[in-house]
Amino acid sequence: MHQKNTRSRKLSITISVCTIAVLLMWWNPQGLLSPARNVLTTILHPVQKIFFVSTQKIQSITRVITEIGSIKKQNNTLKDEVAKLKVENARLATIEEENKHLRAEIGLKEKEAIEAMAVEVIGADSQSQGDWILINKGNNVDIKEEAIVMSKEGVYLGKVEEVFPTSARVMLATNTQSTVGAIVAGKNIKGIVKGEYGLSMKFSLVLQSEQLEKGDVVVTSGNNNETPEGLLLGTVQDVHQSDDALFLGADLISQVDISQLRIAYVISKQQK
Amino acid sequence: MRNILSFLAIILVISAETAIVPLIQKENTLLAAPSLIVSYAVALVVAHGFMTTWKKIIIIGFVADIALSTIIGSHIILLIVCAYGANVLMQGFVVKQKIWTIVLITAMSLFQTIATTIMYQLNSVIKNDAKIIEVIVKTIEQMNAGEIIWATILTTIITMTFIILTKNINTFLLYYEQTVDVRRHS
Repeated sequence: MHQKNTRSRKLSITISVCTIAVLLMWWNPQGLLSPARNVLTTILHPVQKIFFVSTQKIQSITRVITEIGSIKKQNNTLKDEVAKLKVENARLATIEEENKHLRAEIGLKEKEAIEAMAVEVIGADSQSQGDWILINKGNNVDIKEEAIVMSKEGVYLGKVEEVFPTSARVMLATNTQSTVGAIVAGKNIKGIVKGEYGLSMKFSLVLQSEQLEKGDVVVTSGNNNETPEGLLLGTVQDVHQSDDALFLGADLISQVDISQLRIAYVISKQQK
Repeated sequence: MRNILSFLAIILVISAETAIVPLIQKENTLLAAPSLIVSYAVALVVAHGFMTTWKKIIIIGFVADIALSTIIGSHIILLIVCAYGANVLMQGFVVKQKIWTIVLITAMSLFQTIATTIMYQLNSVIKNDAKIIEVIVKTIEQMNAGEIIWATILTTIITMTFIILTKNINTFLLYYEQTVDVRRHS
């Protein structure tokens, strides 16, 4: 009898807690809890950093051990790629120089360089890697919401979504809520890159008449004032028709492995 | 002493959730992954019983929702449902052999993995105003049996570690408190 009573009490506790939690979810008091979140993130931040850095080190050691067999093959492929890129780099340097002269001749102002602040990645979304990352600087160095974050190689990572006293949360380009104006490098094909449930990115709203192909490189178009142009978004993996068959779309592969990312850059001054 | 240790444990587990779990996930696949917070809650229930821990579990759920930027209430539901499930399983099957305990914890871990996946999917639907069908299709496309088995094995290891730690720490604290009591009275 007593056991039955305890069992029904446990069940009633579970049901009541779930009901209250559902009501809380419906109310969603995120804004009200900002002070609590600020305090909590300040306490969590140092511990998170220790865990993240040590796990990343262990992971990279494991990766080296497991990939040791394929290193020679990978090395040869990378050597070929470096040689090709050196040639490409030299060609682009000549073009840049030519571009500078031409801009000076027709009186165009030189493009301002991007000013960026280096930050450390100290955490990431635990369930879906592509939703957000946590960086180790926030209000203390005047990081603002909506600031653009990129990798050291110039790959677009996302935007600052929430700023805490000593850290900030960055919404990644793979987040469903992320949208950024994009263009195919060298082809002038314009479209929009949207996140896909923290897993991938989709290049959409491309006109049917455009020649979009697998392997095309997609970069930010810089159409709005917030995002600088030319940040790498990804390469086209698969081209397909949109659901309404009005536009072309493509799945993009990102060039950055979020799980290996240690340092990111928050853009403080953008190109004009 | 116990309260300070509990607070430190929550801080450690939540920090590890955002730092360790993303790094042990396979790239661009997972929606099924182990959750340290759920394992910790289950370990608390196994070690101390549902009736003595349910209030603490609600607090952990609330703190997790704030720290992990999930919708307030979602971790509370996930933790309390998993805690209740663990309690039903542990009471329904009284086992004496260690191997059966491991089998039970594995079954519980499978339940935890599925419950965690569903909770995060619901979160994604509510947060992004996504269509539930789209999210289900995407989840099915990305998830496979291998993912679930991998997440279940990891969850079993994590839960067992937490159970051993929780039980041992509790025994140590009881011994410590009793020693202090004896000294005070003598």
